[in-house]
Amino acid sequence: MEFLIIGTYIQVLTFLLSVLCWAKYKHTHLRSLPLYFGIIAFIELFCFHFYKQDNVWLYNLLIFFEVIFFCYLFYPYVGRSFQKIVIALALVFNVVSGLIYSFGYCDFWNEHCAYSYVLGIFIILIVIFKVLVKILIVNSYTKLGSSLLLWICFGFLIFFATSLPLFSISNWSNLVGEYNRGISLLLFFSVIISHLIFIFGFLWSKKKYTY
Amino acid sequence: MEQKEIYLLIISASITFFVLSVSLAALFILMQRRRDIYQKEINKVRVEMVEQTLKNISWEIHDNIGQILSTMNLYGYKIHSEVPEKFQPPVEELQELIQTAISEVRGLSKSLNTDYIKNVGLIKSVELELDRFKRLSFMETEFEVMGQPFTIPNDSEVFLLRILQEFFSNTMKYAQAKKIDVKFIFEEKKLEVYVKDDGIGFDGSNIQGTGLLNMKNRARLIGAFLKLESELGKGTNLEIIYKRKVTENDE
Repeated sequence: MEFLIIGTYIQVLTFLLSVLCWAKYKHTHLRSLPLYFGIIAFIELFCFHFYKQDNVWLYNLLIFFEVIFFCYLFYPYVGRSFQKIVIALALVFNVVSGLIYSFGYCDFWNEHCAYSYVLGIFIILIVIFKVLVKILIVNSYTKLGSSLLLWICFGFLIFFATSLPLFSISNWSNLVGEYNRGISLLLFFSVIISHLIFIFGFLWSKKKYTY
Repeated sequence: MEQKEIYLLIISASITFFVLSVSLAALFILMQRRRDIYQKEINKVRVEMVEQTLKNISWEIHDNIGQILSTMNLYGYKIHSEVPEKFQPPVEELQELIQTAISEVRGLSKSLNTDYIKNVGLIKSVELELDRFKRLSFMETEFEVMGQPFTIPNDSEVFLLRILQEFFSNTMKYAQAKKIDVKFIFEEKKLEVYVKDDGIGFDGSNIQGTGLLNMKNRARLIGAFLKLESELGKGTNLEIIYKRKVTENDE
């Protein structure tokens, strides 16, 4: 499946653009985005080229980072009343995931932990929904189109919503033939579309409208 | 359920979620656009109300204060012919003052009256406005029109004039300017308006007044681009770019 390399390199491109356009949003809470895109691009490149086998633990670790990162990233944008819920959701995720590994429902080192992924992505989607509702109330369309926050939300919404059912598969090595290809293609398209949205957002957004 | 069916379910759920999230994003944009149109309508109504109020004030000034001053003027003539010669110079002075007041009141009434602006056009209205400043010794003015003027719809003319009046008013109130330059550049498809004063300026990064908001709202309503730039000690610049619209005259 050679097309997967395109998915990896588009993530690298997004990371580079997030660094190049940093001046546009360094005054906002989105300033830590290059860190996220950098880590994702690094892991994808590393696992694609050098660490192809037994890398499941890295992705199991990644979901912990992603949930905490998104809760931190969107924390100021969800509105004061929801901020405590965001903290609670992050805590619930960590506790539940910790218990799943502790009680041996999943093997952290050798098994893709679908429970943890589904719960994590579900929490991220709730937070993104809340941010979208909040910016729907506050902004006008003119300002909104030039706001990086909107494009970031759209990108992650499409990626996580599409990949939620896919990440419920715990054993990817069992996937054979057409299913393997079909599921990989779906994941590939969700990565491409979401990253195209991020790239568009980085290029199109304007400093004064990104808050 | 067989493994095959589970995978099919996962794929179809994934596709459904993808379609749902894209639809949600599209719906979001659509809702925002609708809200913007609604907001634009509200702004338009608000501006129309302000215009109507200004028109009423203009009529009041013209019909009420104007009439009183005219009557005073007539009495002035009567007194002038009846008083002894030694009292005539102050009466003449009084008559001159009344004449000045009448012409000022008329000027003000015209500048507030939308119908008058629509009748004489934007260029003439700006000229009258600047003449008034010169006459009252507020500041020196310079007005330049370049290119071939094209017809601008009446509403847009009024809005453009109101934006300029807001700028002039701020210049008079705060800028301590000695001179104001206004330049209209008519091009084939747009009108560029540049206004510059030599006043004390202000911190351009911190503009929050309702005046600027009104200017921006008016510009947005006629689809014009507006930029206001200022720096302390370096005066203030206003730039408006108005895209030409096809009018009945053009057709």
